[in-house]
Amino acid sequence: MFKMLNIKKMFIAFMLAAVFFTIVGQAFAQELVVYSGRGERLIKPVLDEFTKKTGIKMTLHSAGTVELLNKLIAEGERTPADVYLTVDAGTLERARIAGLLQPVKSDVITKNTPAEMRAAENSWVGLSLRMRVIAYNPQKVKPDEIKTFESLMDPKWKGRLGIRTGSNVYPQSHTAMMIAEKGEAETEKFLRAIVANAGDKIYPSDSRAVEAVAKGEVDVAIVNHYYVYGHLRKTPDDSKTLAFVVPPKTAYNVSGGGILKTSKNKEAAQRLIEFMVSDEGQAMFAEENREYPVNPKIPAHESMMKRDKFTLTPLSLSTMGRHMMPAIDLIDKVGYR
Amino acid sequence: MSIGVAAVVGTPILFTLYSAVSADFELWTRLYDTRLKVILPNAIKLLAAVGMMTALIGVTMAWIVTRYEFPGKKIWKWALILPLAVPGYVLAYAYASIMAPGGVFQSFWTGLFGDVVRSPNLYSFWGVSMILSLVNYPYVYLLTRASLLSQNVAYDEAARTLGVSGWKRLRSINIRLAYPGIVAGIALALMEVMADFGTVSALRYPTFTEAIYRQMTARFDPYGASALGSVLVLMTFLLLNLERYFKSRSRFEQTKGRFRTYVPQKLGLREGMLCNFLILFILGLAFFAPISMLLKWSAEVALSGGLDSRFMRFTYNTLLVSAIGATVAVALAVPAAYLHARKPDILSRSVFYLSTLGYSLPGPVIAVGLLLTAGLLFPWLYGGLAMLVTAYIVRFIPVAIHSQDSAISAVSKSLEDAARTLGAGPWRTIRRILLPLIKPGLLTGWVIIFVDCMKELPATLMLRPVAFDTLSVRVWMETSEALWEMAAPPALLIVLAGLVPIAILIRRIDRGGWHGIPSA
Repeated sequence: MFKMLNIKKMFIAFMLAAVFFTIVGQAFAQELVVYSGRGERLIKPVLDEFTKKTGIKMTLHSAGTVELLNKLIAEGERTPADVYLTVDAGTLERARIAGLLQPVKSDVITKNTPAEMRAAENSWVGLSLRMRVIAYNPQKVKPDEIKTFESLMDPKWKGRLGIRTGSNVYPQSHTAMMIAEKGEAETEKFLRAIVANAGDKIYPSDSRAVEAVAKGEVDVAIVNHYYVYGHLRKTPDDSKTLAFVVPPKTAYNVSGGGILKTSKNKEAAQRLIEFMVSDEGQAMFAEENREYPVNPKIPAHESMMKRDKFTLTPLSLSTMGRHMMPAIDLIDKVGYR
Repeated sequence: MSIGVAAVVGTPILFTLYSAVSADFELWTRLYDTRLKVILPNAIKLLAAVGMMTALIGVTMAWIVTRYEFPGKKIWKWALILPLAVPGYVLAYAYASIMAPGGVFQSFWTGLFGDVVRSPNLYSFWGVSMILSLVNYPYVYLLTRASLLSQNVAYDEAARTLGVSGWKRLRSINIRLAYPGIVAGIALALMEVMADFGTVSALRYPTFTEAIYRQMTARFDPYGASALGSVLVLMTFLLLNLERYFKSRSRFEQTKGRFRTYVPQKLGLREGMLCNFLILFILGLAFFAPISMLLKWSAEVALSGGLDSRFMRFTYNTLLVSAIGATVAVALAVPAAYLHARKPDILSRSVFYLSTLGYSLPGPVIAVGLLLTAGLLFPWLYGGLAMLVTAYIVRFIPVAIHSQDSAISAVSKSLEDAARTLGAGPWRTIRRILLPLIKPGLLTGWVIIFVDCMKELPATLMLRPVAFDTLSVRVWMETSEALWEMAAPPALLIVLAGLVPIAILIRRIDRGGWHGIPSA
């Protein structure tokens, strides 16, 4: 069989092609390159809709939020990315401080997005709102026992509390907000207490922590609100063992995005951001994952807790972002793995 | 030229080790407190558990298949290798969805046990151990089987005439003599466990590979990552040498006297059915159950139009980069293998050994090493396929070097000498005499590396160009969002591709002369 193929010629041709492919980068002229830390399943419909409306093609590269930040820093001017989407405002602020993001002049953004959920010059913009809440098992815990996050410091929760790993942005941002509100000393006390109470019940994902509450592995957990909704959508029967309370003036976060300073397609990128803060984009963005639209005029899904039933801390996300690095250091210091 | 190969392969490894050694003490203490304290005991526990379980499964299966005769044996003795085609992360993902809340397994369990006994949790130490054992037992099975087949029945008969009981004979003679094969198999399985990234990440079990990946991506700490990597390199280095040691002992215990092999004992109907049942149970868990789930989901996806142009593009990406990797690796291996086979001096032997180390390095370690090296020396290479292809070469070139080395050694040097006396230069001799003769070895190496590249996950995740997703990356991304069905077609393609080297392996064993998966 192999006698029929002229192996040598094929080999040379193949090697030339290989050299070509490996050295030559890829050209992205008419497309927007989006680095997204937000799950592909959630962001792709929004991007596809945008392409349908405007004809601008999208190239989506998905990876972890912080992984992408580091990739952008390492790539510097060589980066092909135009837009950077994340699931965390703290990382966006880090990107802004690192000089990666482009300030944007846009009436649409200013009109539709509350000031505390975007950077001062619109260097980054929040797109969907999520709150940090306490998930609990109604069969084992009464809501008055967990009115605030600080109530979880009580030793009675030892072995009953589940938390997310400290190497993830959600607890890091939560810690950052706490430092901004109460200072490092108080926050350190809080972290040490909950790490002691959690023991080995430190989960690699919020969804695992929620599942742990529902299955009785722990009685309470600190998670983002939409994971509870997500679990109950998949397993409605678990509503007997799973619910959540929102502590007053709770910490919050947004998924958001910004335009890279090095982008060669800034106008198209701006159109994308504006689409995502428009009424239609907001509805799409928040609906699928049960988050709250950043634009307070857009209603959330009907099954969700109404906006007037909870309060957010008055701190802005920019303030939170400035405390991200101290938060990460503090988490390392107390051994919150 | 082989120096060039060594440079390519050795640099990332050396860089990793160097940055680990030169890291200051404070880094190490911080790493210890936050990571090593957890992952080191986890890794050791995992190695111990998987070592025992693969030994149990592999040795039992090998014993049944070599010492007994029962219906179906002819098929089972090859079928037992099938799990090698399934990457660990595919098996983990298949079981994650089978056992997911609200899924098939949960309803089965609550049907049997109600709410009294909590259903077993896959995302636990035992879950991870079980998956890794099911995927890696074939190494122990194959090598134990080879050992058992080559045993001289004389010892056993002598012991029997002296009145030693059946169990005692089993322990002190049969298993004892098979130790080299068993230990070599376990060492191979454990090397795979050390290098595994996909399974432990999918099941969220904190161990080295996963910690290195996170240190690199979430904390952007390449120095911390390579420090962790160096500990891992050390551990794999120890395992590697253990395996080499036992392989070199594999023949010495047999006498050179009259050699008679065992005659497999024919089993009665009941015992025969028991054997069939046992084998079916293991294979069902390790292969048939997950594959049928994959087939079911792939069919669903295909029917609902999910196999679209995006999927084709991912498949094309995978085939492209794997083909490039395999071709370049095979090409680069020729000088290294040739020198080692024909002129085994210090230089060629150390090149040989250094390149072998790459095989036992996990993907994240190689990726970190490459990123550091490229960042300093070749920044213009960043972003294209070159980095990824280089990672593949570092990881898989030993396969090519070893298979070519065996093939070249089997060719008599006098052919080349004859060509030289007739006036042909060295290159011409290699091209026109040697290469055609070792073509089967070249092609086998190519196929194995091609499939290994297709299955590779962590280095691909870290080094791939923008939006260049391969099948393994797709499985990773779909399963991280719990899109079980969508992950099935790429997973299935990977397994199907993996069946090809297994078929080759089986034919090679059948013809005799099998000495184990390429390692030192």
